Amino acid sequence: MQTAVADIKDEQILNLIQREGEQERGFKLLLDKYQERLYWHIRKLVIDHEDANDVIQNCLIKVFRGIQRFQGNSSLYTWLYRIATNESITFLNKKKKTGTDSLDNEALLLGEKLKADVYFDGNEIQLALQKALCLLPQKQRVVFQLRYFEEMSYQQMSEVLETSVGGLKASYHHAVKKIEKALKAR
Amino acid sequence: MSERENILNELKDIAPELVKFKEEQSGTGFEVPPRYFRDLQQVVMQEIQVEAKQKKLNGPAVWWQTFVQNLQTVLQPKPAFALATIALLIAAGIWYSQPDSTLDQLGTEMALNDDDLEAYVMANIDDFETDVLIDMYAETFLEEAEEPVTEDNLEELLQEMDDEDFEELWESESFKE
Repeated sequence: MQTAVADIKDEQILNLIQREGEQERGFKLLLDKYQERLYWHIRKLVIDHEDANDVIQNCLIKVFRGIQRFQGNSSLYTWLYRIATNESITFLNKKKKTGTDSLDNEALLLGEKLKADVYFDGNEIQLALQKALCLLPQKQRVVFQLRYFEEMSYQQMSEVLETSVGGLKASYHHAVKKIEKALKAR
Repeated sequence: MSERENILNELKDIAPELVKFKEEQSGTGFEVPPRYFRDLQQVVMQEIQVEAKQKKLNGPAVWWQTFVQNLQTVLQPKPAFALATIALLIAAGIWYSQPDSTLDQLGTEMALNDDDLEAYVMANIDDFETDVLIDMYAETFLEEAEEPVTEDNLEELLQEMDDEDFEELWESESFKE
């Protein structure tokens, strides 16, 4: 009987990657287990599929380059999310430098953009949530996403973002309040 | 209690809309092209294989590339200035911490020996006033002088003087004055 990818333990993947001649096989298993989750995490942050495609490829290449040096101080899962989050933030910052729109304008533009996007098939509520998320400052947006969508514990989020649990709770609370207000005002 | 339940409990009082959304909506509305994830894996694996081959081909030159990269980093204005300052401080520290023997050696090297002294006096004899030399000579060698010292025989007398005589003249009170 074939083992489901989700059942493969991170230690097994890491052992394969460290073993001479087995690195590619190990990395393929890592992709089977994590690439989809990482893609969706990135996609929710950068919104556009083509942008997400660029970011996930860069992210996975970086993971491959760095996996030999992975010390195991944090779990593989949080290490991967840290790389994906940092890559997304770097991408968004570069994009922000070229644009001059305010957050409100960005939300309006995003609404129009998503309606025209062939890879977005959300209903009215999903569209409203995306527009509300767009109004958040970048850090709050990342924190909200990790907690609300990825369902991470504060401890895991703390490992991913290298921020204190207290700070994360405060950021999440602010983000929730703002989004709730935007959803009610719809 | 699962993390999902924790999250819903946390939101229950402060964000009922978000609770409703989480309970009712199964996704975010985002989609990907068909077979996207299978293709993504192939693209990534291909890039990795190309990178691995290049690594093998460039193997011996990798250290050189790393060295050049590091050098380029170090030669940026700020690091270069910092390195120059550190080098200067180290050089100053080494020079300052040298034992006095260096200075002694320098002093010895700079000190004049008798030959140098004689050569100097002979070479600059015109700079010495004749009267002064005569007086000095008379004062120092008065008893030994067989004939009175004059401007005419001064040079001859100086030629006859050996190292000890010069030293004696050099050390004499009249010369020091």
